Amino acid sequence: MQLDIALAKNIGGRDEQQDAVSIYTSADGAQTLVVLADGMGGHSGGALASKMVLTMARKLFQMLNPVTDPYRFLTELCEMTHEEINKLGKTVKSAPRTTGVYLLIDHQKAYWTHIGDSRLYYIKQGVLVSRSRDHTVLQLLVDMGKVDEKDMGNHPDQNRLLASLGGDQKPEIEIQAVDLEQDDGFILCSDGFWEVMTSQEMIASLQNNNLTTAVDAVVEQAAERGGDSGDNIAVAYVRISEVGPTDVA
Amino acid sequence: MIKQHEFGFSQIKGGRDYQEDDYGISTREPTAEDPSRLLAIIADGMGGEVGGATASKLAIDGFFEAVKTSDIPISTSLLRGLNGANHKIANSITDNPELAGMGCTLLAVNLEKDRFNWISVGDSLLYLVRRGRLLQLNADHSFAMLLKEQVRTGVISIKEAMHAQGRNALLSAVTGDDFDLIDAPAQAYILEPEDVLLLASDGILTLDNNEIIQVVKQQKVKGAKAIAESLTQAVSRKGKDDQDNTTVIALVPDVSALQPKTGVNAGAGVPPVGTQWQTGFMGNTATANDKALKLLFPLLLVLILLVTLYYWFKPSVAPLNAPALPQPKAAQTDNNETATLNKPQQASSPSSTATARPAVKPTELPKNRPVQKPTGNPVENTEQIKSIPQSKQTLPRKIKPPPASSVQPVVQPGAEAAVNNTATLNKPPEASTSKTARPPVKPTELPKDQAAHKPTGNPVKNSGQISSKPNLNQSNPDTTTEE
Repeated sequence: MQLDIALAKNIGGRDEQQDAVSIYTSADGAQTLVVLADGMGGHSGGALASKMVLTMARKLFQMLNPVTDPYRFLTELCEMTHEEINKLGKTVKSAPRTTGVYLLIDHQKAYWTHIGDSRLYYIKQGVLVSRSRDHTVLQLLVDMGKVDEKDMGNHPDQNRLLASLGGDQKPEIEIQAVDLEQDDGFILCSDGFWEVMTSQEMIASLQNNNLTTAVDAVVEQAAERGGDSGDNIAVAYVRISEVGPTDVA
Repeated sequence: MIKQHEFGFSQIKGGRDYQEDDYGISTREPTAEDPSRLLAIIADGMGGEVGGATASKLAIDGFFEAVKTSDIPISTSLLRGLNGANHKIANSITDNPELAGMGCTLLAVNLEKDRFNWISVGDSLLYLVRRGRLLQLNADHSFAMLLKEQVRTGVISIKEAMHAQGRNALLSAVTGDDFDLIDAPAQAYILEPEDVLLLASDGILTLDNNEIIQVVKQQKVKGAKAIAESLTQAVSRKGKDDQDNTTVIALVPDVSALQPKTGVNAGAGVPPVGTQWQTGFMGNTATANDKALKLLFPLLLVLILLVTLYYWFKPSVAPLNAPALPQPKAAQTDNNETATLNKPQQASSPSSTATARPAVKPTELPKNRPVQKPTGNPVENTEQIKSIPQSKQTLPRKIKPPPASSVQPVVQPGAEAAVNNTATLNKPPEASTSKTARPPVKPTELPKDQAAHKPTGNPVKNSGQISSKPNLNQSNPDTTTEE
């Protein structure tokens, strides 16, 4: 399994970067975990919460190394992260919360889950196959047909999350899984990115041979569009450049 | 002039203030009585600023002293060496009670002309780099490894493992006390040309397998020293603040001492199950599996044949009886027919149960896991064998090396014996040395149905399903919810 991965962040027009994104690989190289989080909450709570998402993911992933049950791993990881962020909230005296998107690539399969309005786009041969549905009021309005998909980016009723890591309500974890094929792609991003970019624009960068440069450029472009009051941006692009043979061991 | 195997070593402190690792390498001219050529030892100490470094140094000294004064070949005196190391530490603690609690891991590798064996206690690593792949050969006696295994088998939850106290503890160490686990192969491993052996303290784990393989590949032409140095440099380059001490010994066997690779060995399997390996214990399990397969296939064929025959005969029998009409009779003939047809199948059934048996093993395992110490399983040529756990093959590993069974290859123990073996391995850590921490949760006490928590039937959705609708709003109808 060969992966091309590019991560990028941009603080946008804000004073603090509350988005976080990272990638972890198992010792045998057969598993890769991509994690992205968009924190919310004052007194640095948001930044701490999103950082906690990465910390917990790294710790658990390293401990198990390799993950033998992706469903159980992702579920327990989210639940534990939720608890840890709430614990953190007691110490910093704020109520930090964060979104989370997790993508686990395990040999020829991919598993993902998300909480909140950070997204995962699944792309096959340059065509968008599916994107995660935000846990927001806005998404419900879109589903009801009251708001058009393309207006999601500038609808006033932004940011009302129905689920988050940290907070009173324990998130429900839904996991999706697919068999991977060559040239499959994934885009994980915070709302600072998808609100200002169309899906076509996002996917165009995925096709670029030099993924890192392309991703840097598209994030730069998104930050420009966001302007002076632009939200934090974090993205992770993953491209399956080669599907290996089925596990030998 | 006999060529020697090449070795190289390198050591870094990492982010620590003191160096607790120690190592020793000794080469000798092989004699008729003892073909040993090289003995390499690594010890990773623990027990505070003074204790850790002292323990590892004492262990190395004690090991060499015991081996050198031994009148039996080094290959069979490794256990004697380990005991020597242990005594040295015990004596030192008696003389200096303030050092109580010190200890170390110990990994010793004995290299002969074309083979090697080892003894290991703790979590230092013995890697074999063979044909571009990395295999960890020795067992990992760390509590973290046990936790991982318990998570995998559903004995504890990920959360319990995460919050377990003493995750860095060892299940077994050289502390002057009795050993809880000793890892040693019953027979030597045969070297192949191009093999590289690495002994390392656990600081090396900062690098992943691929990184280690890359370094070995790149530096091999420059020799063992270059490999060892590049590995520690690679660890340093990672710049981890809390980087543990890291010691690496690289062994590049003298290729001319080895037999040329045979065509048979060039297969894809790692390691090869060539002729040489059939006597070595690495190849053992593979051959056992092969046997099972070889038995199963004919069985299947016979079964298919029987079924075909049955249906072939049925129509021809039926018309015969048709004029006579009554159905009961026809049924009777049918029965007779099947009865005779079934005979060969019955005859073969004993063997089918025999092959089926291994399949039962896994389900039996969990029940037996926290059980007793090993009961016997003598290994040839070794004294005090009772302390050698026989259960190498069940030890969880980071990479799956060939399942290694320390049981004599030919004598394939029944399922029962195998279960006994595994039981030792999974001995719960409460039996471990005083310095090693207890797990907060005893495996035995955990509800068995924890395993049921494991989400069942979450079929991986084929992407094809979704791909038909490249619609932005496409939701995910088949997602699985878990609690």
